[in-house]
Amino acid sequence: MTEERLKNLKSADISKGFTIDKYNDDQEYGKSPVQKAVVVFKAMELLKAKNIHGDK
Amino acid sequence: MTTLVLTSTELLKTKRMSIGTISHGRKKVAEGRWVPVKRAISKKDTTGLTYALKDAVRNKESVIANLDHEKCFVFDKAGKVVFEKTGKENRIEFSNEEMDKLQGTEIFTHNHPGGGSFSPEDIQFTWLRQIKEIRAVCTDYEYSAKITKEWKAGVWNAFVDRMSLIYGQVKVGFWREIDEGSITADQARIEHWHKVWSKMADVTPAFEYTREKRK
Repeated sequence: MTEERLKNLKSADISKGFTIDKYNDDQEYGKSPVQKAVVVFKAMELLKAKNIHGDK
Repeated sequence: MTTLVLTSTELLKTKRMSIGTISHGRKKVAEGRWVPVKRAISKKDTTGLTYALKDAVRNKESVIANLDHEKCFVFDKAGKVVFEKTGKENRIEFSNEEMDKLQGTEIFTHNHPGGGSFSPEDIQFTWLRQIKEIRAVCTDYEYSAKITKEWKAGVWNAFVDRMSLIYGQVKVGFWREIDEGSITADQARIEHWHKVWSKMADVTPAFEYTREKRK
């Protein structure tokens, strides 16, 4: 999930309207191994930073 | 226990018949024969919703469940449609004025042609407009989410942070399962947000989430 999306999720500004379901992030399951590795790495870094362990 | 109101004609008909079963506002009086059953519209079920509202939502959801583009309906407590909008293949856009109309409404339902559960923006939208219940339907499932308390911005932001962590965990877990061959990428795509919201509901007070198989 991108930083920009997270920022938008935390925003309560609806002065320009609002759109639901515009991201296709669940389509990432069809990504290449390299793209996948980047997302996994970022997720692990986030988990480490928050000291939360993933599923075992 | 449900109280049913029958018209005099229906009552005469049903008196002559054996005991049947009641489903979706009709009474089965004999094999292949059904008579309509009128319910008191203000009568509430165990969830506190009126039958009129539940019937209205169910009717509209059956219309939109299999569409190839998104469409939404918004209901008031009495089951009246107060707003509807047709969107695109994978999104619905609301103007500022439309957002104002949705404030505090009872049920917002829409369809997800892709079959998955709520996007984070669906839940954000529910929080921003203080909608009592958001629903999504597709061919196989119906999804429901509720935020049962008024959340300040700080509570919402903490919810988003937690969600983004669980999002990463779920994604890594499903990729592992795809690599092992235990699920397909399509199955992961359908299950992704369902798993995220199920986990969020487990750890978040005042956040309720359910998924049911469509009948």
